[in-house]
Amino acid sequence: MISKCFHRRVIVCGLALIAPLGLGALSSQRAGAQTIAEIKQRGIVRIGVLSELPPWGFLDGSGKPAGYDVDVGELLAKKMGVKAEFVGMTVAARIAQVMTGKVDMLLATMGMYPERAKVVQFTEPYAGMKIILLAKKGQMIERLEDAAALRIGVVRGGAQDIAITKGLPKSADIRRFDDDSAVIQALITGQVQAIGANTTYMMNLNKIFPNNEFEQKLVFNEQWMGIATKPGQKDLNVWLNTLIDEIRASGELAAVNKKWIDQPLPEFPTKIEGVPFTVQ
Amino acid sequence: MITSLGPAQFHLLLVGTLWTLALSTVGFLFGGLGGLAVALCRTCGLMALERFAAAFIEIFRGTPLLLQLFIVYYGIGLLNISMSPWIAVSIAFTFHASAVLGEIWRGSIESIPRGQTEAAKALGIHYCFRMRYIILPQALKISLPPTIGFLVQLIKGTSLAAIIGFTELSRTGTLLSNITYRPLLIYAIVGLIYFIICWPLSRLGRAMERRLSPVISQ
Amino acid sequence: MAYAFDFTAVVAHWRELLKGCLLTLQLSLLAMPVTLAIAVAAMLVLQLRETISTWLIGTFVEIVRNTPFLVQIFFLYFGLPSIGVRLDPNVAAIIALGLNGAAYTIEILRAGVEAVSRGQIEAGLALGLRPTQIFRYVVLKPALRTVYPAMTSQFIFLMLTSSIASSITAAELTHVGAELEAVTFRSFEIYFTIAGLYLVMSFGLSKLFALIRRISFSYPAR
Repeated sequence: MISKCFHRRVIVCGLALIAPLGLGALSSQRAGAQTIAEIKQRGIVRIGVLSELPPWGFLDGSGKPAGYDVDVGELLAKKMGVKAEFVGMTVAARIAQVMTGKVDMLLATMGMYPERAKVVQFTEPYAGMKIILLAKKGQMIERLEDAAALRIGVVRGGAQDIAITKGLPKSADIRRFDDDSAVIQALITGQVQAIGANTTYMMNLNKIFPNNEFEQKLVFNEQWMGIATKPGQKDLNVWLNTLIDEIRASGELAAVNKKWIDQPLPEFPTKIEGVPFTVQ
Repeated sequence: MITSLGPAQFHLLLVGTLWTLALSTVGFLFGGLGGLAVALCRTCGLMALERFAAAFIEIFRGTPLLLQLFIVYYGIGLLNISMSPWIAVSIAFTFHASAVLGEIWRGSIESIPRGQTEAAKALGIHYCFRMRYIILPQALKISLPPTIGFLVQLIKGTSLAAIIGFTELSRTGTLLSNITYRPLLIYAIVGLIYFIICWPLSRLGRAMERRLSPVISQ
Repeated sequence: MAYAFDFTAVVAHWRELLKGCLLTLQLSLLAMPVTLAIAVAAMLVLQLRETISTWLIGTFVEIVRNTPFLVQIFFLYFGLPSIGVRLDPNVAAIIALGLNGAAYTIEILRAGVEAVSRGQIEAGLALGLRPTQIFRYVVLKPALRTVYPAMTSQFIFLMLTSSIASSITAAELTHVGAELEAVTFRSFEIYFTIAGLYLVMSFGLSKLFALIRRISFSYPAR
């Protein structure tokens, strides 16, 4: 009697403990696809895009992802013959999202830099912009060193973070936020005096405050954006590169650029030091 | 791209609110199941299971919810079973709720006088029956106020899903303040929406507490 | 995909992580007295049984308890500059944690104060104690003793909550971790380690509080 009761107790507890886990497992699917065949079989390509960086990736009035990256993603899915599923994410979390297989690829306005190329696989560039330092008009900044005494906001791990951290002494007051929205807010509210930005921040600011008090101070570099995947996915990489060539040749990419940035497509570099476009 | 605060933006806030509610509901329901399991394990009288449940509770109560979210969210990805962010976040909240509710309900189960268990045993009433008809109904009554208190905590806690990029109410607020450039107003509205959801629950919890506890005469 | 765990990044940055722990403790240990001071002051005011101030305190408690900490800290950090108050991230974090903790501690302490029976206060009056003395020795100290366990677990919760201050770049453990993640990309390993460090800190704090209890609240009161 005692042992029977004992056993039942164990089973009840055990089952109850496992139940939620089982439910979780039921609804789960295989991790990030390894090949194009897997994506096609699934019928959906999962693309990571930013959701707070107009005009690259943001939510439109109805809450749907929109922007340059999203349009390119749609083109890509169309050519692949599958549906695109966009997963909104933050700058700080994007690499973890693709590395842990949450998405198949990132079109997340991700600049092609050697540090990142060690972790993810880039394709050739599909977009470009300038990385700049933005500050109040009155602020005298001619070289980066002039900004050493200011409170500077950047997105943690972003291209601006890398450039500014490298250029300033360790004692500089650099505040690293989770995402672009926090950085922009910090600048507008005066929590920081300058921010690492890109040319499209300026576009947005000018739109909302036509007589705004901010201006571009320094250009750090021209940044090229590539599609990022997990390393080693050779056929996916080759396929994406072919596709980028295709939409460049057909003028489809130029149309996307015109629509969102209102500029002609820049001349993309054919190689970037330390950032291979193909699987080595 | 840059807009003022209009009907479309309020619609976005509404959608964000629905996500917050959905996430809280799922976390609370599955966490309730898990919490029951944890509470039963914690009080079952088997050393190994009790220890296991105690450790589970300690780990989740001794670490920040934010970190639990990070670990479950990214950890699930590493297990090679990728799932939509929505399910991953739900699982994280389920674990968290299981631990906290497990601890609350353990306290309630243990507050039922031991004599009742002994009497039931003497009458030959076995474990399942004893729990189902004698202990749990009484424990449930005692545990209601803190359980509702936790529900409020959970609803507020779902705001942390914003940090890993899940677009619920808080993150909608961040996105909106970014395209409207009016942070103060937006955060006031977002805070107000949370308040409207949580306040009635808090009051309900307190009313129940007052009804249950013997009046302390002053 | 077999993910290769690699904790070398964590080991290589142990100094930063340790410093992050200290910063977290600093932040929360500074916020705790703020919390307690506000709560005790509120108790004093509540003793006056004056309608407006009671209502104000009640409203404060309800607002703080029913809105997320993330929204509160954003409001303080990004909202206040528009009325001309610019707070440093760390200061904003301490104030936010202090106010947030106070709302909970007021509720906890109120329960303790209400548990002090009327008879004791009358006894105090009969002994000719002044009202401040009664508040201090007859009401507050026994109340603190009663609610000590609840209050200290609230303090530990406050320490855990401080992780949210990372979103306004306050210097604490989670923020240190996030910065390391941005450099090493080892998100899982780093967050896993950090969670372990929080566990150790909350364990340590609970031991510390138990020690304080033995020293200053042992009965009979010294």
